[in-house]
Amino acid sequence: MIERKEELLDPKRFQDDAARSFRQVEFVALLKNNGDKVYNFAWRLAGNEQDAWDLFQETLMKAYSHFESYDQSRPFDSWLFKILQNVYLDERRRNSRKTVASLDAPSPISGKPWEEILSGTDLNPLERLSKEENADLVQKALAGLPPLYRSAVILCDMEGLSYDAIAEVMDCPLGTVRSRVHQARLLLKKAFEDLSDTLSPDKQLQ
Amino acid sequence: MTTEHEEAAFLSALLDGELEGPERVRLQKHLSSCPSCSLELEALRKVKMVLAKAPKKSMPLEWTQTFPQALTAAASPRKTSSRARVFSQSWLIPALVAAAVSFAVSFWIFQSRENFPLRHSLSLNAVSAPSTTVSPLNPGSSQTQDNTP
Ligand SMILES: [Zn+2]
Repeated sequence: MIERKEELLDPKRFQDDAARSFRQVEFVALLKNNGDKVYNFAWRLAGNEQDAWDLFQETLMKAYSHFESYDQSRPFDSWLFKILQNVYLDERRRNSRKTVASLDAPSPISGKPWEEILSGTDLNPLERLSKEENADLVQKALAGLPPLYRSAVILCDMEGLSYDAIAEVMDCPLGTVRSRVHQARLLLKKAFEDLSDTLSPDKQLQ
Repeated sequence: MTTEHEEAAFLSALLDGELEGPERVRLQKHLSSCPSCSLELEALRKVKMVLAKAPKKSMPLEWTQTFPQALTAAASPRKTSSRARVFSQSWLIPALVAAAVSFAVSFWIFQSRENFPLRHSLSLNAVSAPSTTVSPLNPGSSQTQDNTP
């Protein structure tokens, strides 16, 4: 008890505490401005709200505990994207020991070669869908992508990041970003076609 | 139509404004005389548009409760979590931490109440525990599932 009292009266300690509190407020302020983008990335990456929420919270804790290493001259959202992506991949690796999941290998739909998969480019049915149907299809189509393709295309098309920024988030060369974004879009094109085929006939205006 | 032209690998980069110099010139020249690559470019443009227009989600307001709670739990000397090491062992620290974060968070809620409807927190309640009993983050029991086939 006496020891604790001494701690309280230690001015150096009080200064440290004040500095720490200041960091907390700083972190929350940055989060306020960037949190929505990061949560959206979590939602699109994880595919559902429950997993997105877990992923988001884990990311916040990790980010906070490494906040000292955040370089203020760089965008805070990219820094959080990177942490989130790593948390997601770690979690996946932990879970995927049971399954055979490759993170980057092109996984052609129904085992066909790319060239065969990607014939036909009619996305018109998709454009006629309502917002809700569209959202659902997008989420389903994204879920079918290898995770690193999914990350790349979400960051590019939904979060609006440049290839440079994506390369930093994903810790890979520019050429790899280019290839991941492109392959992701090719697979999505096919997935959209397949998914819109499964809609009820009245939804498929000809 | 799917093109087998090697130029096609650069179509997405062109679409994203990420192709420069000779590569860009070469691809544009190729496009002017290759209908199949032009079709492919249009298809990719549609995919990009569909993604860009897809709805977005904002972070649920629960974070304003769970995040300070998690920080406090992580800072608590009673817990032996590895995270606790980041924080001081004194009981004073968690108290300050919680106070500072709660203050910042409440200030933010106050500021943004008008343009931040509570619908996300409601929709989240449907899938997670009620907000009053959301437990502090526990990384060991994360239930993230693999949704990818
Ligand atoms: Zn061509």
